[in-house]
Amino acid sequence: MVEGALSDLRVLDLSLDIAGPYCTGLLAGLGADVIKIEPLDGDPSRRAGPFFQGDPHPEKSGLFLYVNQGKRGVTLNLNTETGRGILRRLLPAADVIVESYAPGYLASLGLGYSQLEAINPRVVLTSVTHFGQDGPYQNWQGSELVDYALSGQLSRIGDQGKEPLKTGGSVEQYYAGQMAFVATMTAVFSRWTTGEGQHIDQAITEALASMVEMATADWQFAGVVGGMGRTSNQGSAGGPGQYLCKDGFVQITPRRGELFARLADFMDIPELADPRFATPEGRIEHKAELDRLMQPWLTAHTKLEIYQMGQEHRLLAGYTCTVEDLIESPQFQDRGYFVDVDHPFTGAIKYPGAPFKMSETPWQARRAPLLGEHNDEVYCGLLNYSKKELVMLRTLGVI
Amino acid sequence: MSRRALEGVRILDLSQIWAGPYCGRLLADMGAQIIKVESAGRYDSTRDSGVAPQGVTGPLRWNIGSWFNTRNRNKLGITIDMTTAEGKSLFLKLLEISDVVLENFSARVMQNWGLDYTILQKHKADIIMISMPASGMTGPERDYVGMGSNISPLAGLVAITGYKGDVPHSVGAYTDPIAGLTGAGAILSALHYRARTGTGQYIDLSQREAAARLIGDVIVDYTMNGRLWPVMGNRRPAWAPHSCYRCKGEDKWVAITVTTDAQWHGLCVGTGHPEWETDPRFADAVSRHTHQDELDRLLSEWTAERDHREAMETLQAAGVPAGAVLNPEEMFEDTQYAARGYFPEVSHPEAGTFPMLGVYAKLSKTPGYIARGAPLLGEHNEYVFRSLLGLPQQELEKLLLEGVISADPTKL
Repeated sequence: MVEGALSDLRVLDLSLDIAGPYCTGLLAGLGADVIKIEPLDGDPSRRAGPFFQGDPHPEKSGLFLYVNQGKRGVTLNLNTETGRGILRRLLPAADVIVESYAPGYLASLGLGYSQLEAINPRVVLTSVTHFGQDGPYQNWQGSELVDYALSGQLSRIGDQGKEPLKTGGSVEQYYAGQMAFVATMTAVFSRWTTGEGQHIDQAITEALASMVEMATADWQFAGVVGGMGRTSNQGSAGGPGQYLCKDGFVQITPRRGELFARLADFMDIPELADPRFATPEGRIEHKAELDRLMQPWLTAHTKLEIYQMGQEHRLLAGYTCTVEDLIESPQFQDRGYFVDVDHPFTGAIKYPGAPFKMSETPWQARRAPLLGEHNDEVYCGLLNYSKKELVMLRTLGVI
Repeated sequence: MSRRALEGVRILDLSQIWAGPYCGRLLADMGAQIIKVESAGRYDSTRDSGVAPQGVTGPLRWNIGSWFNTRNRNKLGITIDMTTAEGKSLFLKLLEISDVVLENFSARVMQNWGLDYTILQKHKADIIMISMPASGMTGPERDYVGMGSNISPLAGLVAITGYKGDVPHSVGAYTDPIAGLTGAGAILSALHYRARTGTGQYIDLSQREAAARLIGDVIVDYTMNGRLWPVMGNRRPAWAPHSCYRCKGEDKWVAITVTTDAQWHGLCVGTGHPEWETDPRFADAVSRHTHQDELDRLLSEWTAERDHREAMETLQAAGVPAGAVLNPEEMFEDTQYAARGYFPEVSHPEAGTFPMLGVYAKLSKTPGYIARGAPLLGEHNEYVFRSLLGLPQQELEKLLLEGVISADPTKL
């Protein structure tokens, strides 16, 4: 086994859905031994798509398979005293526990931080919730879109006059999970000095709100709402936005401080060097004519051509990558970003790989666990239950 | 105040604008000592962005900008002209007493300065260095120009975002904070590894790769099934209602998402529409999704009569996930953020005292906090060069005379 940066850590993952499990998935990729502890019917993300070949089988959820890479998996029923006892027995060897239950739930089971700390003073407990462990919203229901709305970010994106627009997928949940990872590693680092663990209260909304630096600051300083605003997205008049080309969308503008006439040279359209187009105001005023001049050239070239040629000309060029574009990107391929991971129910599938490349301790891409796959290895191997007792625990509905 | 978690960690920070500085902020709030390296001729351009505080008429514009003040709080500021031999030499002296070097230049800059990792490692064997360029430090596109506005589309975030039936929509420079957040985690992982082995290392962080990980489930649908996600506005493939609904007033919205039968029941009760529960169009989750246009229309009639925060509170009381779309002013008025002290007041010698975005998470024993505002340009030259490095006063004056550590942009 290759040494990972965090190979000395053992993590108990009680969390469900995306944010908490993404946090522990990062710990696993960096080498930690993460034991995912699922309820008997599994993490709800096993029932969320996208499914392998459209088959809604609990071992074929692409979401679950991606987020839970690298972990061992056991089942445990915390609603039984025996189940809670098993968790307590796993505690002394654990460095980190991550959970995403409603505030107060673990404490109601006798498994709150003060009780966990009494068994293992070095354990770091990371609690991930939508709104935090206290406050008037503590029992409220959250979701990706609701969290996004309350973070202040949602008001900043979309077209004026239309409803605000969220980024596709579940980007905010992953972001919050990554924030919980940063908080967890901060507390783990502190342990080197203090020898003690602590309780982390990560609110998803607070993680997301941390990005709204510019708009909140502008409001406080001068009562204006600046920063990114709700403006039209259609690329036009040489400004920012999405420009339609032969096979998709590109971004193409001169670099900051450079002359717009550089585009005239690049596209071989001398009319673009006209002084009327030299300033942003001028370009907006003569928008229709400018777009008419640029469109034939855009339509004649593919997004990859425009991106590569544009960049070679030192323009700020980009293209709107679909997932297919990412997989086929010469840059992503050269860097070996996508990795093949085999799985008994899907065969080898490509996944995003390392979030960053470390020179001494490379990222490890291992598959997600089957439901209860490591019950034997963990309960018999670590806790010394016999095989007979394992069967009993199963029959009793504890595991 | 209590000891913070990362006290004792010293980070030499050459980064500018958003990705690197945001990374530094997450660590500085938890007590790491971030020494932000700028120069009179090339200071962090964010210093000139945002707005100045109303009523403040101080002469030094570059110290009182709103964006810089929030993003760079808790940091120390020094000025070194890194294009000079003396400047580089000074940097190397600082390196020898530091734990981490953080930079977000394009790929060749540190190499051109003769300060890439192989060189730095010779001066301090266990140094941790992190670079976070747009596309990474290797590959055919490593020298391409990237800024948040083109990196977001290049990471796949834009293709899956847009109003239904419309073209892909910009998401802003989202990849900057994603990269900064990812970088903070990378630095902490390397620090942990070094604490147990004594070995430092180099971290190559591609902003595009870091961001693409946040759409991993979308990517896997393509690699498993060859399926590309269409833009779908705020809706989702299986759940309804799931969108933003217009409320009373100008540009006021409430987000409402229903994914379970219990939440659906709560919605019908909370809006005072029990008849929806027996409406055949909405009999189960599948048919609710099929008829979501009609459902959205009915729900919009209810929300249109209400203040967005009132709608949120009514629905949450009925067990429905609902969130008012808060603008920045409303964030400061929100009762949850207030109860959790998320906007502490911070004092700055030139900008004044303001409530500011707080610490990203609460740690029970070693809480983070904002100990000081953002640094004035070169504010800590004396402290860093004299107290930390022990440079004699004479040498400092010589460097100042030669312009190597000048902190005055008006005298270039």
